[in-house]
Amino acid sequence: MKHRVVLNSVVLGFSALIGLSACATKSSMSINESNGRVTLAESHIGEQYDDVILRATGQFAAEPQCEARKISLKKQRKAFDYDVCGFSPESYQFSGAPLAEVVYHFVEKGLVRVDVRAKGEAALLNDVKADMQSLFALSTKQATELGNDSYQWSGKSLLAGVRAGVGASSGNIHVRLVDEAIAKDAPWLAAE
Amino acid sequence: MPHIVKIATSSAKHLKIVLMGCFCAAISLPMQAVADELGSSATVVPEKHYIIGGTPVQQDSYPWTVALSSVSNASLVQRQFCGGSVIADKWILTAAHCLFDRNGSLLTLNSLKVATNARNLRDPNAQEHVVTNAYLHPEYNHNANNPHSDLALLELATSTGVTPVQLSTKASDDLVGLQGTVIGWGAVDYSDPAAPIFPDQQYAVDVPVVTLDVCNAPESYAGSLYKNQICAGYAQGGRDSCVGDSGGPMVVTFEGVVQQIGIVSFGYGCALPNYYGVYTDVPYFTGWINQYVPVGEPEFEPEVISSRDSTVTGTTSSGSSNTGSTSLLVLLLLGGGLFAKRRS
Repeated sequence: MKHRVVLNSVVLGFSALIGLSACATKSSMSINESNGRVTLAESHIGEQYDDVILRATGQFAAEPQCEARKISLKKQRKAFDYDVCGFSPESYQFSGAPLAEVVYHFVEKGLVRVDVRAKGEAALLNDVKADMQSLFALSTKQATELGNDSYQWSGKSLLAGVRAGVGASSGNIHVRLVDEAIAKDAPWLAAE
Repeated sequence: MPHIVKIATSSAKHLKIVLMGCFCAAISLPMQAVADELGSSATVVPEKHYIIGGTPVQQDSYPWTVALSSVSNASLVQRQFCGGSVIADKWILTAAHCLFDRNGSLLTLNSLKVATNARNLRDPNAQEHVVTNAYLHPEYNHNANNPHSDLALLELATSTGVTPVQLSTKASDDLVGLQGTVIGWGAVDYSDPAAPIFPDQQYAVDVPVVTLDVCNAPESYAGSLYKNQICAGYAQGGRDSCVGDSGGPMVVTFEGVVQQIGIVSFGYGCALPNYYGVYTDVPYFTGWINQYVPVGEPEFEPEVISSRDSTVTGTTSSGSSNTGSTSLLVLLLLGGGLFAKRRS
């Protein structure tokens, strides 16, 4: 079920203020660590839906495209809420390259995965790899090379990956941050 | 108001632990915290994944089926996450695992509703009921690899006005070979686990009950199933319950009477070859159920009626806890669980 998130005027106004503030001080992002948490697109795994969407709406000055689904975890036949919200920010950068898309994945309204797609080639890939290596070096020492310019780190209860796009997405670098627990409960949700 | 913890035991209908005064205050926040937080793959894919392989249920069929849903502004179609059955006017039988969130914490009662008269989840005449109490079987362990004893009872605030389904008392061996019917609002297409297709309309599918030996075969669940579980389905797959059907009933018609024999519990994928649907064996647990609900007889009034917000009900014998403060509650519940003994 696809829908646009409708935010009331008060929230939008507040978001706009945050957005203006964000634009004034920062129009670029990367994967980094804040308060002991690894963040991607300013969000950390486990963060709540409302907090992420409110901040991102203001930050990117754009409304998200959201889709609500129900999924299974483990062998259970209980259905769990799964929300996917995507932003296509303009005039925003990721590690110095134009940011094309940010997608947030929530299960039961908790953030379980963040995807970032930025326009860039080998230099951007190497920059992100260096950032990842710095963030995860203590816990994993080095990346797992998945092949075809795709690398993955695990640690801090997270999986993090970066890969160069192929085919139609050639010229893009894909970065992801995934809750390690959800990777076990729903492996498809952690896939590249 | 005292907090009342109800724990299922074999010797008493309710073991009541009444926590009062400062002790009550001391654990009220942890209780709220609990409440708030409260193989191998087959290579042959069946031609179609259908409550899988089933047909839409007619409006007047299976009136005692209910939909468990979360509380939000979303439609009932989106909020429905499990099924259940009316076994007495205000009592619902469902699966214990339906009452846990993805982190293994119990849901709060006020985050849960039960919908009756909802053959179609978009039916404006569907009625949603508040849940006042929940009772989990004491031997259910949500963290187990095979979480058996997967059943729970929900007590509603209001009458369903529905004639309850009869619970079967047939022994497990006598169920083998019977054609079971599973009813629910679960996915009708699970070919893409990232985007299962859910119907608005309730579906039913017929699946034969197979022996536990078949289901415990190396190519199936490899000996992991217990005597209190039953399996149903086809070796070639293609017909099965699926995501969203958990907690719902499997019934048989015996001498013209529809009787519930199973509760949808789990399965590897949906409708995959050799991976039968696994169901809680309802007749096995009749004794435990009857401690709370005298099925088929006039309903008794519970001894203690407590407010929804202050009652934590039921337990697993080894439930999870996320914080140190919740451990206190778990210990209290575990204390009760240690006295619990399976009746059947």
